[in-house]
Amino acid sequence: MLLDRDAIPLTTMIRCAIQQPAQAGVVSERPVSVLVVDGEPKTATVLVKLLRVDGFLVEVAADAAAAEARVERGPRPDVLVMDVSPARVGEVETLRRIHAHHPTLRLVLVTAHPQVAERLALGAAPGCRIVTKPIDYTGLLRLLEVAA
Amino acid sequence: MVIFTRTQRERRSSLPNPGLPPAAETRFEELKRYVAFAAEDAALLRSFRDVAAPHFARIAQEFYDRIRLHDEAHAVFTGEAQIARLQRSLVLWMERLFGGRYDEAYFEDTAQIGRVHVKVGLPQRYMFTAMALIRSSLLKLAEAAGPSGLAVMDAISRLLDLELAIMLESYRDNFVARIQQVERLERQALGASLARTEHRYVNAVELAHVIIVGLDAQGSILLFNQEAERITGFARDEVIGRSLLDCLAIEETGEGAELREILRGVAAAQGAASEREVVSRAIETAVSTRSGQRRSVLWQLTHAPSSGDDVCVFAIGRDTTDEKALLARTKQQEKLAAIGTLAAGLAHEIRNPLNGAQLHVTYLDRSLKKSGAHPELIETVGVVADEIRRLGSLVTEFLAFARPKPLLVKRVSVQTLLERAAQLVAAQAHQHGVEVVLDVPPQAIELEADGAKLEQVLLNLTQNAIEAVAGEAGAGHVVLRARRQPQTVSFEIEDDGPGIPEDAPIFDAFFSTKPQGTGLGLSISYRIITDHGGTLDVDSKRGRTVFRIVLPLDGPPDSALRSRVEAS
Repeated sequence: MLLDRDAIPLTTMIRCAIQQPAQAGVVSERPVSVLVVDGEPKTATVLVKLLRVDGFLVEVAADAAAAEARVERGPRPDVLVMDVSPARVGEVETLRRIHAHHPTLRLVLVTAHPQVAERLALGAAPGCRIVTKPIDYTGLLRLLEVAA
Repeated sequence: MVIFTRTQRERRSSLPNPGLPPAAETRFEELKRYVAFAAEDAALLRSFRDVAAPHFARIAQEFYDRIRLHDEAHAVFTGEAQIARLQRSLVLWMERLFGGRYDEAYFEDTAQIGRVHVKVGLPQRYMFTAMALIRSSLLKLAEAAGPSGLAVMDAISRLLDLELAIMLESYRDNFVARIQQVERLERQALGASLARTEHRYVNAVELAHVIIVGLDAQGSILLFNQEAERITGFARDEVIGRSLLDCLAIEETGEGAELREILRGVAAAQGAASEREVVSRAIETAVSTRSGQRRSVLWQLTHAPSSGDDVCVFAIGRDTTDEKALLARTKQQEKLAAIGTLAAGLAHEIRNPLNGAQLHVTYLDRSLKKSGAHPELIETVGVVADEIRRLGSLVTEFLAFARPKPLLVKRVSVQTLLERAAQLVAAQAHQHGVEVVLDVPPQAIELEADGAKLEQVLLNLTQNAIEAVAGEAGAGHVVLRARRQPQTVSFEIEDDGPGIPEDAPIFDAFFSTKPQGTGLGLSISYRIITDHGGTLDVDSKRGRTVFRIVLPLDGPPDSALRSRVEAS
């Protein structure tokens, strides 16, 4: 069937990555710290559980503002996995500030609107990765390992 | 029978017979016969000459003095010099009257005098009145001569009548000539006007941008204008005399049946004295062109019974093929825009719950595997995970169709595109035992287009073609073809599979003949091509199906610039 690589560039990239042999990056000396930003508690909880099982240090923030406060307070996490929606006002601005203050902080944006998110987020935080919902967890893992 | 000749002239009896014209008689002789002017008259006049001549100058003077009293008659003259000259001429004329020789030369002189009067525009009525004046003066002279003058008076009267008759003849000749001239001019004008009118009507029919076909009562073509030739590809000499229905292979069902019904009605009504024009309602039928293409024509038939012309039906047709296609495309675009808006909103509502479900299923799958659960349980969860993924891809695909990303237009090579498509399907083709052949011209063709999207379309069409021929007995060939036209490039994906049912809405979203198909592949392809300002058509029959893409070499007409700016 038809595969629109333009619409889902990341999943294509991830699928390519999956075909490579698994790396032992997870069991490194220092665990990768992840800040999950998601306003939906059930989804956030299960994602946190999965990531912890896979050896990540995980914390949760309910929204962008809370995430910004957490990052500013420190210690700074390695990766931010953030649910973004064009419908939430101020989110892109917060993202821009976080990226401006912490340019090396890796950003993985999870969205139901990849095209819109791409347009808004890439301007605010160049280099961020966009993952389309529903999350392909294995793909996300590879992305986090690369990000780490 | 009495035959008069010049040498046998004689005074005839008092009962002339004007009803018996002798052979070879001149006009003058005929007139003389009528008024019974004979040699005796001539002699009498000659003998009276010496008596009359001294009075001529006076008579001429009186004649012109009389005219001076009459405004209208006087208006004929140009001045005194002319009057003096004419007065002298009148004296000469009177001398001539009494000359005694009344032969053809005399006749000719009189006719000449008549012509001069016609030429100067003297009205006929003044010819009569003038002659009456002269007659009165001359008769007075004869009367004064006593009893012998009676015969002279008679002769003078006869001669003056002859003079009058001859001169009036000039008026008649002139009148006839003028009428003939008027008629000639009128004929010329009428001819020119008819030619002009005909030219106008011929132009109107020939240059009209509508099909105009004239039919006789049997439906045979008698008139076939340029537009009809252009649309159908038939030259008029190929179709004149043939049945319109047969020539253009107009269908026997639907609207075609109605057209047939009207023509049958015309044939039946022929002979019935109906002079009323009947205009049919608009009827849309398909017609076959000379090359076998089907085009859509909107007809209006006018039954115009007229005597004197075999054409009794005018079929006026408008080619609506392109219009219909454009309308369909516009409708499709509008539908897509509406669906796009809806899809974007829906995508959010579907992807969010799917995300929760997927993560929970992943967690469940992991936990079951870790706890050593029954494989059936693990498999069940796996099915749920697959189905969630499928839903996710469907949303993605549907969005790609309904709200595609703007085109990223660049210069791309046609050959490269087709070679890549062939490479990408090579494994699938091999697996199904299908031969994929490239048919591209050796010289490079390049066009402005979104290469990735075009590749997606070519891949989609090629995969469909492979699936169509796979497992089909006697089939198994797919040709990827490209050709360059002046402004466009055409791609063809041809297969020798079973063909597509004629009314299958293959370009409609969610129409699919495949068990696992989403029904979006061709819709997306169609959208990509139309977004490029191109066309995607299919021509299908058993054993040969061709999907044809035609794209402008210069890229999409309006979006090109915008996309290029965005891309940079």
